[in-house]
Amino acid sequence: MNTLRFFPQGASAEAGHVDVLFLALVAVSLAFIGAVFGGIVYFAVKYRHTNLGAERKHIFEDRWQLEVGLIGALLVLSLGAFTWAGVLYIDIETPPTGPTLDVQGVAKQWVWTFEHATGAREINALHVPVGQRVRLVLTSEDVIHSFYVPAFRLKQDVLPGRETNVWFEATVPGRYHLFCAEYCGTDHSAMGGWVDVMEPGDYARWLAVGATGGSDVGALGGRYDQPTPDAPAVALGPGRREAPAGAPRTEPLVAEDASAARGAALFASLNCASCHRTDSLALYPARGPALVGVYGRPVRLQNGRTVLADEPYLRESILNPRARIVQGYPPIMPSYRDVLSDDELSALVAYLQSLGG
Amino acid sequence: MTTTAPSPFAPPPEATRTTYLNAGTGLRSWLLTTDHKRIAVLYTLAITAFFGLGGVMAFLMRLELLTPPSDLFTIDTYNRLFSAHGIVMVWFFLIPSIPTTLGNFLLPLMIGTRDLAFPRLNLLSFYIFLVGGLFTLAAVSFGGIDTGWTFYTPYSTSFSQTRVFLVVMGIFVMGFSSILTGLNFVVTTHTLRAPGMTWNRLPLFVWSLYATSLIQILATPVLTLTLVLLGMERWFGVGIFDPALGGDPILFEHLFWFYSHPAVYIMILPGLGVISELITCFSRKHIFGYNWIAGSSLAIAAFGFLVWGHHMFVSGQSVYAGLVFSVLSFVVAIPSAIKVFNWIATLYMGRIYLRTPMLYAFAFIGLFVIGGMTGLIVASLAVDVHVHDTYFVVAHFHYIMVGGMLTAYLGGLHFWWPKITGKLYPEGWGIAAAILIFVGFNLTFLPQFIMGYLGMPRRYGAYAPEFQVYHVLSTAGSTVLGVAYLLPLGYLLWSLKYGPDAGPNPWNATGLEWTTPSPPPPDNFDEAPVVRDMPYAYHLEHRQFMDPDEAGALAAKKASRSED
Repeated sequence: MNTLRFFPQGASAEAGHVDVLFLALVAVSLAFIGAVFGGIVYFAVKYRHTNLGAERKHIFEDRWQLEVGLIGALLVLSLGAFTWAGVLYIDIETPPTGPTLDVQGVAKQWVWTFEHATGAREINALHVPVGQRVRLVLTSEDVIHSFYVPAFRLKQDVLPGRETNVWFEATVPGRYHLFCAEYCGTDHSAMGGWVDVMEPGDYARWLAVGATGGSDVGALGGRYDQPTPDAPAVALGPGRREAPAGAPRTEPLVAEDASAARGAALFASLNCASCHRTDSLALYPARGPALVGVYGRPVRLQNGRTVLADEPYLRESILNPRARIVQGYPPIMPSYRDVLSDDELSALVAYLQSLGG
Repeated sequence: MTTTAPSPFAPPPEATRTTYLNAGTGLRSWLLTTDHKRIAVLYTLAITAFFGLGGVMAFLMRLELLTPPSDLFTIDTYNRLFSAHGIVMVWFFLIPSIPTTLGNFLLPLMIGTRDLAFPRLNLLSFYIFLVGGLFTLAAVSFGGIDTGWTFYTPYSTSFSQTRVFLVVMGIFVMGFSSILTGLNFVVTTHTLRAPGMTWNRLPLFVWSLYATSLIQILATPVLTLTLVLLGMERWFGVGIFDPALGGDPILFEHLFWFYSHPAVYIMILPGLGVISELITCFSRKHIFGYNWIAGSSLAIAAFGFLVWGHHMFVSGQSVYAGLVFSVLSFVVAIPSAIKVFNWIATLYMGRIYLRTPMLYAFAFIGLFVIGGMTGLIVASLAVDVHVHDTYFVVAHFHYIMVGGMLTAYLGGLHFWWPKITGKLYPEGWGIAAAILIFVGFNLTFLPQFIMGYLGMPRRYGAYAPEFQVYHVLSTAGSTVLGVAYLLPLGYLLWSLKYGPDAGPNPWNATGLEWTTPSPPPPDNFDEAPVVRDMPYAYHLEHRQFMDPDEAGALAAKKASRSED
């Protein structure tokens, strides 16, 4: 991954077409730039003021034939480039005629959530089969985001209050960056994940396993590489989430603190801290309640009642966050049902317990 | 004032001559001046300070980006840095830069009049600008703003918890300064031209200022209204842009870019005008295609209003709208190409002097062409779907704004420095700085094209490790660039005290501004000028060399060499 690249990987049906167009435009640009630089250097040397021998005549008249000819030539070239790029753009933006695999995508600060037709949900990861046209139906719950997969040469702004469709067909299995390309606030640069392009068979298997509670590492986008529980999630770059695809799962853990450590890693990799801040020095109030010391304490709810933050309540708040909302916070947390396995849920609760109470 | 007024019959000796610099002393005489030349100096000080501030922010960002994680600053700090960098550079450096400094100083001198049409309005513009700037500085100092310079809704109206109010107020106020300056320039150009200064004898710099002023007058009110709407939503919850309140976020993008794309031409057009002046003077040749260069400025101003949607190809606007905006974006590039062609044609059969301003002019043309060609790549719809909001776009507009506009400003500043201050700057230092700026600039921004096409999104304080090598190159370049920008600051200030006297016309240049002493007297001209020549009459015998004795010396040298 750290090898020096000059050109991005291409993994969609359109990527190759966009690259050819881009390289053609670069070639024309280089020709123009070369002509301008060359002309300047050549004239600057030939007509330097110390060169009295150079032939000089004073030309005043507007050579309108030259100017009009230039305008005509540039118009033709421009219209050529415009047409090429426009036709390709229409191709990208037009719905495919055949059947598509539909996936719903929801963006919110600073999480991508995708839901497959089977009901399987994943966060900051998107699994798609190779060679099949996929339709993404995207919307945002808060501000404008942008769905960007460089390897697909595909970008689409995701707007609140509107559903936007994009289509693509992945052509090469592998794992590719998913970025948010429209600035959306604090953790904009961490709002990303991976698109996993799988062979159809693998995809079907993943879907079957993922839909039953996600005991496969892929359901979490492989973000298991955070062994240090205290790494603040705010500082996460997208690249730090790398892990080899299909990394072997660790054995079930028995010891309490080992479970808490796993919970901490999950807490970091799921970016929970982007809302549930763990640093007390934040300039502005966090979007979600602070979780340090919450375990076993009474919590005041929106409806005026009080509830004890015990294990059942915490589990409920992760799986069904809107059931009982803490006073003073908007009901914005996505549900992690179908995303976390029972094991992982226990690990998270163990981590919260370890934060004191 | 203790000096006696100059008599029209017997001008006093040089030492006691009254200039705009010594015509009044004390802070009051500067802060309450209505002399366009003094106001230009005030603006120069202000925008230099803003440029320094914006530059330091850029350098801090480049330092953060040396490593992939967000480690030097918190991510919130980084977001505030790039927002403030953009806001300060766009509204408090690039937009006012050339018009309010060189334009303010030179417009009356170039058309042969005593001052702008509304001298007091000019001073008012300056103070409005200053108040706007102070609002923005206050915002930066007390908490900052994290919306980016584009203020996209609903983030800016319903989500950001930063100092949106102060900054929006600052830009709202500054907009009036821009409108009033534009108005002043247009009226001045129409009404105060000297006898014989017909429209087809107008210096090309004046033409470009005129076109710029038209955009300032027509486009800025749209920004003002947009900011009012933004404020209505943010503070009174009036639903205009936020869908949660029944608004449309795309509407904000349309309104914002309806100003901000023409604003790009507010920034670059005056630079194009400066380059036309430099190229012809240091080629000792009449400018090639005068009418086409002047006309292309107007064409850019007109077409510039019709391309704003090319910022929104992936926003969800209609495919057909995208097609129209794309084709118009190709068309708007043609007048710029015409200028480049005419500049190079001017060099042909010229007598070229590689002095500092000419080096800046050459650097400008090269960087402007790179910025322009990559602009066409960005205007190509299918490619823009990939490169939009990546470093490719960042590199593209920095080639125009910094490589273009700032280079033109520095070239113009060196060219007219002897006129403004009466002193010559040290040529060797000037050439060294110009070369260093060119090298540093390219090292900073060329790698950004590559990482942009690789997919590096902009406005990321933390990024994937495969982009690091390009970020390191870019930061190295920005270090060179930072040092290079300090050089002119040093030697230009040095020349104020130690530089040799320039005399009225050190370049043996045409143009009315060179017919009056340097620095000019308070009323610009000792007698009202009358224009009898075509512009840029460098073909005349006495204009062909920068130093009239040079021809003989060179011929003698050549003769003696051939004897050996």
